[in-house]
Amino acid sequence: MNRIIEINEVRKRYRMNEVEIWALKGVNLEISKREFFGIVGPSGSGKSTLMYVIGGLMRPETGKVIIEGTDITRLDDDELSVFRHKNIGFVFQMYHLIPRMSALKNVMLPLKLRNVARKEAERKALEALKMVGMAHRANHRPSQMSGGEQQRVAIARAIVTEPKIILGDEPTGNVDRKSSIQIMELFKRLNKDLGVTIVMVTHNLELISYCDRAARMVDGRIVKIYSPNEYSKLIADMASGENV
Amino acid sequence: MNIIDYLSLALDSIKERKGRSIGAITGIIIGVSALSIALGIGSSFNREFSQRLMRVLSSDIIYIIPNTKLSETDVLLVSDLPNVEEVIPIASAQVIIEGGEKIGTTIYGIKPGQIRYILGTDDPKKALLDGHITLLGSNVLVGELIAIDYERGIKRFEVGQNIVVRGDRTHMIGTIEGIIKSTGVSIAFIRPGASIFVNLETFFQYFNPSRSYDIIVVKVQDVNKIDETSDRIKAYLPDATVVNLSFLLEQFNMFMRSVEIFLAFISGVSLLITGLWMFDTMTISVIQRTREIGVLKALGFRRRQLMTMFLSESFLLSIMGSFIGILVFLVLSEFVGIPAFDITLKPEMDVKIVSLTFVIPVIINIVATLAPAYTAAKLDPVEALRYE
Repeated sequence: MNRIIEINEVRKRYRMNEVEIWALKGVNLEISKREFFGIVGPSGSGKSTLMYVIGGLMRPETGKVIIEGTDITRLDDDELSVFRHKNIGFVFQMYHLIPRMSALKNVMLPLKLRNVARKEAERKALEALKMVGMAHRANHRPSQMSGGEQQRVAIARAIVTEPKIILGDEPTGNVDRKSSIQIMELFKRLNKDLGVTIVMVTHNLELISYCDRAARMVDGRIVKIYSPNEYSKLIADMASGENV
Repeated sequence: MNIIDYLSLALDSIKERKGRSIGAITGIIIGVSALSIALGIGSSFNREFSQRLMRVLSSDIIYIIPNTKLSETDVLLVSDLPNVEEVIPIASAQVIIEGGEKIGTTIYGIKPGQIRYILGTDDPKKALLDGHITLLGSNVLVGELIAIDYERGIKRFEVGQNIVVRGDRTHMIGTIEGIIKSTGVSIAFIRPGASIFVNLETFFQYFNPSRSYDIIVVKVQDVNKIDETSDRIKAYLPDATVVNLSFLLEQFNMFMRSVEIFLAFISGVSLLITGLWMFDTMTISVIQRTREIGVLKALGFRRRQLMTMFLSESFLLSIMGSFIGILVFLVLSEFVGIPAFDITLKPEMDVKIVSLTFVIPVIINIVATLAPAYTAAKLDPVEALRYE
């Protein structure tokens, strides 16, 4: 079986004071292994929520989220943490590096959970930094790096544990155009060379061409999944605010 | 994650929050050094007092101190009890010695063969500054502090000199046969160096015709049965106070334990304040690191691991504070002291004190960190990541 992510009728609700907001209203989605999958949609359409649900950072009210054959909605918090650590790497819009740690220490952080010996952890972290072209900045702190560089370090942190899936929440949302392209090229390379499945949420339709498929979300639902030859239609649909 | 990983993460965090960390450590240093000094002084006082008590009171001796007076019958009664080796009855009176100048002191009447118990030795050379001991007739032994006026640097009395010892109603003329060293140790709460001694019969003749005693000292054969013998004496003489060294030490230790608990409580207040400071520091730390906690959760850190991470930080701060606090105490103990027993008591350090002063702040601070650490562990990862 080639599926790595399977989402069935997932609903997610937020409560804001007395008001209930349904961020996901019955989402169904299948993503294959080694696929580079994009999720686009206007703000508030539920794309980040969907990504957090896939990553096990949020629990849906109903529905199934099956990753590599495991329904993660049935796991308890600790099991979910272990599952996340083994299978998923996150790349956030704001990089979320630990400010007091060097690039190397940031990348070594997930390896601490595996009790990897310090020397070995350093070697692996340096290898990951090399892969993203940041080995020369290993001893620099985040405050000493540009946004694009910080994001590449964050990607190194995401891949150091060799996850099966990388989830990117607007990974280029906080960097300039040149860095955006560098990051996308990097994602593409990781996807092709390491066979990592990538699910990326983005606002930037210019970058959608890197994806093998892309889903458009509107108001908590996936309204259409586009293949590369339909991307111009996707851009047009996004521009017109088409709901179906 | 192993302990080294936790401690290394904790150290990174402590370095980042230098100001608050130094504040927390300073609080612990003050608390630990105050607690160490309080316990150290208590321990030092306890040891010094116990040693002095043991020096003054022999372990094989029972003291019978009457409410009013003890009679010859009481002495005979006690003599017949099992385990009693010797009974040393002592009578005393307040007198004035006249011989050039007048000096008030206490005269003790004792049997000549038993004066060695008072002087703590059979060897007159060890006990006397000058003269000899027979204690026959009206011969008297005079304490060094009576015979010599060290303030003025003059000798008041000499061996061979006759002195008038004046009591309430009568007086005797005695001949000084020896001067007792003031450094000599004794039993029965008597300071030989500041007293005079006379034959018991002579004492009764001049100062106490009713032949009653002020104290009876009982030497036992088997020290292990001393409490049993004390109980027997108490049964015969219910109105008298019967004490022995182990009883006094026990009473004193009970008293010192209360004093130490009180002192520890007072200085422990500062450690409680340190605990509140730690609670505050860690609560602020959790708030400041909310996004970091979100990231760690996303990376796969479990609740227990996050809690341990914050507890390790508190543990490390406490260990640093305790360690420096004990060093500060070691330095301060050279300068701090309280006058007692004609010496200055310095706080002393022993394994018990070190353990207590090391362990107590660690426990208090870890307990104080439990709530903020639990809050961190319970944070929702997405809300934490979105925290501004």
